[in-house]
Amino acid sequence: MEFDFVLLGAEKQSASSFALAYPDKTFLFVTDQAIVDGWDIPNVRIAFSKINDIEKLPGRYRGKYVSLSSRWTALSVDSKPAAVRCSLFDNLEKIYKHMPELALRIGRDLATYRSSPVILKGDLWHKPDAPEIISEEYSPDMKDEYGCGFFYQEFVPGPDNFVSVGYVEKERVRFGIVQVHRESIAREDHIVAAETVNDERLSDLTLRAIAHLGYQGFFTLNWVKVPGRVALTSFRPEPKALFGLLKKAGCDLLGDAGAMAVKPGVKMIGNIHYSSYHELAS
Amino acid sequence: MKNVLILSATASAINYKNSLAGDSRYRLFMTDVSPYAAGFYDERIIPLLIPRARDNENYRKALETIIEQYKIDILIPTSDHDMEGVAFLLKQGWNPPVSMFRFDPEKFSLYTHKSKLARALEVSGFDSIRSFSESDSIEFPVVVKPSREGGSKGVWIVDNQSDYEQKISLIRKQYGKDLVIQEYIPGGTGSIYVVLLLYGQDKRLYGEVVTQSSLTYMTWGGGGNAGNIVENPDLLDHAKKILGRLGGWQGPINMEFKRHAGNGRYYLMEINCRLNGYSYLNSMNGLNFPKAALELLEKGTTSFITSRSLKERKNFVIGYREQIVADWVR
Repeated sequence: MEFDFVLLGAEKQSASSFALAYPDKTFLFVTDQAIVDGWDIPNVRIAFSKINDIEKLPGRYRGKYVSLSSRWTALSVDSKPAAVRCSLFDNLEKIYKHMPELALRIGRDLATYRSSPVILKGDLWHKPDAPEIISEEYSPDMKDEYGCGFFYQEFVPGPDNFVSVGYVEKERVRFGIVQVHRESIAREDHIVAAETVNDERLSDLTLRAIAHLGYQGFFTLNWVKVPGRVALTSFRPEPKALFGLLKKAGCDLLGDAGAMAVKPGVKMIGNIHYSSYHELAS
Repeated sequence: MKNVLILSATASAINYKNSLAGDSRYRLFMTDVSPYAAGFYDERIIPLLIPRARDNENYRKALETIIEQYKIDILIPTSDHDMEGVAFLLKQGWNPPVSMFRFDPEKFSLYTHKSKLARALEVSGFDSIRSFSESDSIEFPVVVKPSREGGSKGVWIVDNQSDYEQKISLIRKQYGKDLVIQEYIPGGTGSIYVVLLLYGQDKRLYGEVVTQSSLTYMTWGGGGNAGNIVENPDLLDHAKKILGRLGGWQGPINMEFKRHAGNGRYYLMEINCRLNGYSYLNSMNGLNFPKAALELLEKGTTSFITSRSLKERKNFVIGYREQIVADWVR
């Protein structure tokens, strides 16, 4: 079977965002979960695959393969290079080395943290469930039930949180800057309310950070603005569920254009949508 | 046309919106503290920002202003915080000129306080989850959580003394001293059942359904984001007996049970005095609880809702779909 796109890790909310933003394209959602959203989207088919079976997929399904999930990328067959590419700790270290003005204190050994609150972060992918802010009164049990690995990062509470979401291919980078007004963090994380902004400083920082990583593909950078500075909190080699918002604002992540002007002030809500599903064989 | 004020614009409020918004008999108003509540963004809704329900005095003033200004006929609180705010006001003698379920605030306080509820179950002779006091010798694993929060807020499963002490300290800091320590009931995905019951102001039952979660928001459990309707008459009877013995209810109420993976028995985890968050599943299957609740408030009666007569059953999964909006509610 042939599709325009085969999306790996379709348990992420970005799968339906991608398919709904491009109704003229056909999509195969591939997931290792029994239950996912998307069965009611006309241009979507859904298939089950274990991550370590993905080498069998191209024989069955043709199309452009895109990983929506750091977990899929990190655990895929070619696991060593992928894991290196997915390590948030390593990627942040690399960026912070070249751009120290963006740095927040990070460390792998919780015992070395001294003062001020820090947040426990998943290294290879999003640590599931509620965020854990560690303080002198609270340090969590460090059981890694999910296999994502952990590290800590100096915690800077919002409220001015931004993401750069885009796609880089060779010399071309297409991305938009979005202010995140509210997000929900549980088994997966998703954006509840956001709007595009025109921020030259964040645009410049995005281009420099991506260049330092030498990264190709979809990406999400997370920023927090605090008085007098901008800090980079995260880089994940995956897109956020903002394809529709960015397209509406003039940023077509699949387009041919290079850098593009993104209309500021375009707003989105992550609306709660109910649909029926077919349970996939696990 | 009746003006209906729905308090909160997320979770079960979405069920009211989806189930009623096409009905020309009703004009729907929704409130929330946040301009980013998803329910606001529907052209069939009149959105209104109000203070937090725990800011009792300003909350009351805001509701009274809205009721007068928009000539509200029917008032429906749909979130735990709004139920708590309305219960507080009713206890103070609040008597707004609207149709609403005038429930007993003392019962609300009993049902929604996890420690008090556990004690009441025990006294009434029902299976209850073993609770510990902080001075007890704890048998791990246990669940520690705030007594008065819903939506998985502040819930931790701990299996050792060090983690236990950390989590107790964290809950105290975030939610206050009132917390509950309970035996952990083992059970994976599919072990959570929600019994939804609809009572009239006369305390008679007008609707019943059991749903089972097949996916939860958190990896350890919590609220459901996928599930289906199941036939479980024994659990329904059990739930109705519990409520009957504890003093009944007026309005919609949902009781969350967990089926013990070892002994197969159902343990009541919590009661929420409202439609459950994913109750739109019922409307998808033709069991329109929001419509029935409004009929009860308007006419005092409605047709009995049950899943027994369903020929086909639809399941549900929740997705968060991008919706472009013109501007934020101000």
